[in-house]
Amino acid sequence: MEILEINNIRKEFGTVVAVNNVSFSVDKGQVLGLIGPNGAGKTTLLRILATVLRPTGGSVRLLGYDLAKEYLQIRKYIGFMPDFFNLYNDLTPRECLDFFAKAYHVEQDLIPKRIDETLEYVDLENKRNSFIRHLSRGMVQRMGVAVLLIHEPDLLLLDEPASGLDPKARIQLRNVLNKLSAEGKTIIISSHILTELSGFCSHIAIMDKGNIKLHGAVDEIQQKIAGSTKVNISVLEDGERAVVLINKFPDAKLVTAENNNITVETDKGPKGLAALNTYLVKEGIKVVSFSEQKADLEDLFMKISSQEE
Amino acid sequence: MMSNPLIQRYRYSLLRLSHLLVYVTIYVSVVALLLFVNYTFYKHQDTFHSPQELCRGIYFQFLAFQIIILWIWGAFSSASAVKEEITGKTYDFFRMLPLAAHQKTIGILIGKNLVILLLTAINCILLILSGSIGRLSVNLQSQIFLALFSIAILINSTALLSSINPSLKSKKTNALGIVVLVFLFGPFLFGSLGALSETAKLEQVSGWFFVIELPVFILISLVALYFSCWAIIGILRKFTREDEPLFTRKGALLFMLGFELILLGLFYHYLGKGETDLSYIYWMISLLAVLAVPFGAIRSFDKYLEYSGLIREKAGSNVNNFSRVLLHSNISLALGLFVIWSAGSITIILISRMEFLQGLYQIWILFSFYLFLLLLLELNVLYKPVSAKIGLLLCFIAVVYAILPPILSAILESDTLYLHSPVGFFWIMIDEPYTEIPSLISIWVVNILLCVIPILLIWKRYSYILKLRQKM
Repeated sequence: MEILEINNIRKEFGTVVAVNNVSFSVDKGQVLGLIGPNGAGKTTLLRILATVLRPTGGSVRLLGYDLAKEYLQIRKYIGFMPDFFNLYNDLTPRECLDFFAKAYHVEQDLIPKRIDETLEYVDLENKRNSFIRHLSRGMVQRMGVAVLLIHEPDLLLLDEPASGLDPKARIQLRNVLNKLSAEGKTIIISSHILTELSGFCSHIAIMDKGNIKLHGAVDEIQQKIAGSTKVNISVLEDGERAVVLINKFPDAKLVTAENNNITVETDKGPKGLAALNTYLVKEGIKVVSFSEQKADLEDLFMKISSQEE
Repeated sequence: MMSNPLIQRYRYSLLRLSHLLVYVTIYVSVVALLLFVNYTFYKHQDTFHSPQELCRGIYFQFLAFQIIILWIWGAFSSASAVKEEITGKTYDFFRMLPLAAHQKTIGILIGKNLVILLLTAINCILLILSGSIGRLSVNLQSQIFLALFSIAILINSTALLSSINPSLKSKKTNALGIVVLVFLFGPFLFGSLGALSETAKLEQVSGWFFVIELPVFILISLVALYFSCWAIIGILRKFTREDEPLFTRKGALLFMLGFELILLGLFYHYLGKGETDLSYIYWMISLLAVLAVPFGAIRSFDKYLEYSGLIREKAGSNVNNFSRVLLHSNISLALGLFVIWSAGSITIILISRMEFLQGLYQIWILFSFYLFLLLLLELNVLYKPVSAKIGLLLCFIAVVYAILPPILSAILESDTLYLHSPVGFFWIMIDEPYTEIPSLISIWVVNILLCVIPILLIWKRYSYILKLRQKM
């Protein structure tokens, strides 16, 4: 089910076109990673979707609501975490969530339970009555996620959520985001740190200079960009003979070989991989592991960038 | 109203027992001190001759205290609300709240001032008590309350409006501005309060609005409420579309129309009686408005660019987009405002039975001054992306324009040269209203000649915007 539809969205700041006629849609349950270098237009696009910025042109529909006219309605269904934010330092997490729950029209009777659940979700239940000013940066970031979740939004917009966090806080935040993804939440998350998004997104959109360069499911894009598949083969013994055999195999090309670990490239897809595996086994090679090497987002991004250049 | 989430959010942070105790202790101490000092005066000096007089004195001191709480502390508090959100980096969360603009406005104006309102309520009880014992009539007390609260609404809403500036980075408040205002108007305000306390039949002091005679407090309250309405409309607009100017074009024209009507209403009675000198006070006040309002509705270069794109989208590239840009420019709006000002001024000429032709010539000359200053403003808007310091240069030109003719006039011992300055011309309008028409025409011609270069530069820039738009 499509929950977000973006048509020719454009945002200009004077002579700078920050978002240039961007169109795409997001289905329920998708986790869309918005990738691009600094200044690509990711933040501007997210801020438009969050109703914080008004687009210069184009239209956005979220759950059937028109962003330009029904932005107050739309705000009830989205949760936006800006790139640089803080929370009310003079409140405790419980008071802060109580405020946001009321502002987002959560039913009064449900609020205490929802606050408890949300604080537990982000692992801050033992800090419920401390002032926010006494929380660490990582805790504040997780409180930011709690603020997004308090009204159970249909779409989460996260702008560089892990920026400025130490490794431990980054892992804790990542755990929370993985939980959200596993629960089927629809998320649009932007980052220029690609490892932050890999393994987490179902879809990606690569942005550069205000344009969407590529958009689709991660697997599809990997296939599209990579063209060929890389396989890591580990054999128990006879590594050198395995290399000779692979070189004779018509549909595979040797990439690297080190002791008993070999990397091979094939453009024949799954069938080619299966044939290579059978061939090696038939020739008496003791294959320990045979695994497809997925191109990560960093590879994809670099490949697209090099194609652009 | 109390279910407003923003009020509840401020209740959490402002009404904590530890904070409240501090405020209440200070308040109780001030009240106790006031009562003690006045009672000592009553007992040992002859300042107050009876308990009624003592209570009347205390009433006006409480009133001054109420003014400090509501107008000064309130203004500080209201002005800091959005500023704290911006500098505290919570503003994105705040502006994304699914609350209507009026809920945010009420939430801040009441929520941020919860302590102030609490102390005001207690102070009101003390005011009513001391007023009643001091035999101040209910009528007078009601009028004072009306004026007190309507001015408080005006000050607080204006303070909030002035703070809605998302590009703000500094944590500094507008404290300096408020301190200057307090120093400028404080002595006048509290001096007036002192004088009022000694006026016997205060409730009978009246003013005129056209042909209606009204108690002066009510008149002040109504004028304050008019401006409060516009300040609140401004806040609602800023909370809805914060990147837009304060006024829409229609809003600016309506504000000016209302402002002119209020001024006319206030001056009508006195000008009808032949007090011609007052007409220049009217002209001065309304001229300040016609100069200031365009700033509130100003379109930036970015907005021109965006707008010319929309024109192109709607009307197509073949139509005469230049004239459409001109029609929606800052210049056309300012000219509309000047037309309203002129209508008001012509009415004043007729009411005060000034020499009609002379009056019309003066308006015409003022228009030429206005046009030149307006063009400087538009140059600033259009050339800011080229040079960030263009404003400084244009301000310098405006200052030279205002002071050079009087200086030259003094050096060259000329009787007419200083009339080429807007300040000099306005001065002669007040001091010596009748001026030879040929001299007036020469001022007009000089001003129009001065406008030629700015017009050409503006023309060039409008063309550039349209060309740039085509490339985007």
